[in-house]
Parts: sequence; structure tokens; C-alpha cells
Amino acid sequence: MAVKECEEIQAWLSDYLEGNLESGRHRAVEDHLYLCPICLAESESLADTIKSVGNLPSVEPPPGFSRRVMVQVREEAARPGLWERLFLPFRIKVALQAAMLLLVGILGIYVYQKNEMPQRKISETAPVKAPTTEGEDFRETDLAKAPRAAVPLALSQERARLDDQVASAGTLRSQNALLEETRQSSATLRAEKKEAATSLAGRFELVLQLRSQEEGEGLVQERIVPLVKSFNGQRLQFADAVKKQKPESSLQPQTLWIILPADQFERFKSELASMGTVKTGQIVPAEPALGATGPVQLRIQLKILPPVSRKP
Amino acid sequence: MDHEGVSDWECVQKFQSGDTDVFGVLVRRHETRIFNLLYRWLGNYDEASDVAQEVFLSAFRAIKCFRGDSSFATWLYRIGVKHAKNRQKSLALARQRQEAAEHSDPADDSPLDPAKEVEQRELHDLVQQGLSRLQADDALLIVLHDLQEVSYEEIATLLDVPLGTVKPRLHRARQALKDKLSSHFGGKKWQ
Repeated sequence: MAVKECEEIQAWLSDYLEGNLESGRHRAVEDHLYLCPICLAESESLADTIKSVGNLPSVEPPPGFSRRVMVQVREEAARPGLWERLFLPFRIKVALQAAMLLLVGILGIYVYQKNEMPQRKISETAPVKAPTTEGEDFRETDLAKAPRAAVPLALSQERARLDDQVASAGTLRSQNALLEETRQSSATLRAEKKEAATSLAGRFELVLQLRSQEEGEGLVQERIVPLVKSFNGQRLQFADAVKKQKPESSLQPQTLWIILPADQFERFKSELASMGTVKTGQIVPAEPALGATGPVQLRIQLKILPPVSRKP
Repeated sequence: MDHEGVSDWECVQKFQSGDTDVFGVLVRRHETRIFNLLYRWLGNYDEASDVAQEVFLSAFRAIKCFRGDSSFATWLYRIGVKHAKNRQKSLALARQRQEAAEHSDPADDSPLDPAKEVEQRELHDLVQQGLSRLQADDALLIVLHDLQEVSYEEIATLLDVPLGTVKPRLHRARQALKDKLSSHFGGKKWQ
């Protein structure tokens, strides 16, 4: 039997076994199988294979399979879809969403107000403690307790007060000079913060209003600086301040920066009082230097104002 | 309500009209065929059970879109084949198929005389092992046609292949299975 003929017959075997061949071809395959034992064996083997698959027993699903499926199906049917969850029923959703929106708005306002309130409270209820002229001790701890948020507020208050003083001095030139010095003092403060790591208790201000013009001549070099030194203090001079140093004259306001032991403060102030009227300004608390153990020092901004010119 | 005389298509229409419970009729009617297809193809009873549940849940979600272009059974088979193919992608499952093929058939409890029963059980195990060792597509064709008696046309529809390719592919798959079973069938014939 030709190999090619066997290959052709074997390709038809599936159709032959299923009865899908037209009668002429069906008879040709039958004739071939009658004569060819190899193809006959192949055909019988293929038929057994097909039959063995068809005879595989039916396997039952696990007990309760359809019930479990239906439980899941009903759960899923009861669950609203995404669209329904977001938008249906419309009348309830709209009311609910409006209420949520309102709630969010109220919450936003509440949070905003709550953030605003501490700043207001600081300015209203936590004034920075300043040493008074008589009988009140200055304590480092008082300053350390003062909220830091008070610093910018105190600076602005200081600025406002200086403006008032300049107005009372009466000249625009003086005002400009004072503003310039205020700017300088801010720069000085920043520089000082970096450089001075001693136990500085804070900064406060003394304003010396001279009694007479004569008092102002050579006042700083001849009287103030020696006075400071006599109380174990020192005058601070910074590079940017030195450059812009103005000639000392009693006609213009001047500002000095002084470091002074805290316990000498009241005596120093008494000595200044012999030169004119002394006013105590706002204390600005310093950030306490961690680990600083030295004596408590005060940074004093001493403003020397010319005598008030009285108009007739 | 009795739905015995109601066709699949009528059940589907009832469901689409809002009768959700009628889906239970369709599940009971097709669960065994779907389960057997999955079991014989995947070769693992538990996997077949899980996938069969997924198939019916998917059918439930999609039944509103079913328009009756093919029979409900073909449509369900198509979903089953898709899910089973996805499941087969995991390598673990391929191993499970192999291992499961080593175990005896859970449904093979025919009350024959002991010797014949043992022989038949061995044959069924052998066939299941042979199917499990075939290419997945070949095994699917054999299970669909020779076990589930799905027509060539339906197979072409649910597998999205030309009708003319189904017969030759099935013939090659049968020959491959015959070769796997040659120790049982071929040996006897050739002696």
C-alpha cells in the first residue's frame, strides 16, 4: 500500500468515524481499511480515543453550587450600581450633597477662624513684659515664656511708637533719619542674633529725651559710653551701622546699642535721668540661647531724642 | 414557579423584564455542562468550581446585553472558555492540572464488578491525564466536541475561528491524544 495513500486516508479518519464523508469517499476509506492493517489499526485506535473521551463520566458540581451562585447573584442584584450610588434617588442625593457642601463650608470657616484666633489672643492677652521704672524685677524666664509670635507684633508697635515720637520732634528730616535707623537696627538685630550666643535676656528700649540742646554736645562719647562702661556694659557697633554713622549732634535723634548686665539696668536708668526724661520702651524677648550659662545680659536700644521744640 | 417547559431564550427575556430569580433556572440547567467542561479542561475540581461560579456571575452581569444571536449555552460556553483561559495563564494552575491528573476521577463511581470497575477507573484517569498533557487549545476542542457534543459551527462561533479550521484542528488534537494513550490502545492493536 502506497504511503501517500495511507496518509491521505488517515487524514480523513475523523470525518470517516463521525460519518461526515460523502458516500464515494466513505466507500474509498472503507476499501482501504479492508486492505491495509496499519490504517485499520490507526482507525480503531482513533475510534477508541474518541469513545473514551465521550465515555468520561459526568462530574457533578459541588453540593449547593447553584444555591451559592444565586446567593452571590442576589447580593449583587441588591447592591446599587456606581451611578445609583452617586446620583439616585435624585431628591435624596441633592439634599444630602447640599447638606455636605454646607457642612464643608461651615467647617472651613471654623478652621479659618480658629487659625486667626491665636494671633489675636497673643496680641490681646500676652503683652510682653517690660521692666518698669520702679520696683519690678526683670526675669529671664518671663521673656522665655512669652510667645514668639509676639515678636513681629512688638516690632510693628515699636515702629508706630517711634513714628509718634518723631512726629512730636516735629521735623520731616528727623523722621526720615529715625526710620533709617530703625531699618539699621533691624539689620543689627539679625546680625546680632547670629553672632551673640550669650545668655541675652532680650532687647528693650530706652528713650532719652534731652532737656536742653547743650546736653547733646559730645553726649555719646563723653558721657553715655563711659557711663555704660562703668556699669560693666559695652556699646555695640556693627559694620553696617558704623558705615552709616552720622555725626553726633543734639539736633538729630541718635540710636545706640548697649549690652548691660541686667542687675545694673535700674541704676543705669537713674543715671540717664540726670540728662533728660527717660522712657522705657517695649521689651522684645530673645530666643534663649540653648546651653548658655553666663550672666543675664540685656540688649538695650537707647534712643537719644533732641529737646522738644515748643512752638509759641 | 415551574420553568421546566420554558426555553433558555424565554428565561433570558423574563430576566431582562425584571425577574431576577429566573436566573436560578438557567444556572441549574447549565451548571453540570459548564462544570464538566471546566473540570475536564482544567483538570482540577476546586478550580473548576471557582471558575464555574465566576462564569455564572459574569453571565448574570452581562445577561441584560444578551440578544439571542447564538444559543444561551454557546454564549455561556464562550464566557466559560474566557474565564478558564484567564485562569490557565497562571503557571501554578498548569502544575495543578498535571498533579490533578494523577488523582482518580471523583465522579467515577459506576457500580460494576470490581475488576471491570478498576479497569474503567484506570482508563478514565488515563484519558484525563492525556487531556491534561495536551496543548490547552487541543484539549478544549476535544472536550467541547467529543465530550460536550458541541457542534463544529458552535465551536467556531465561541472560539472565534473560521469553521473550516475547526475539523483539521480537532483531528490533529485527537491524534495527539491517541498518541498519549497509545500505551493503552495502540499497544493492544499492534500486537
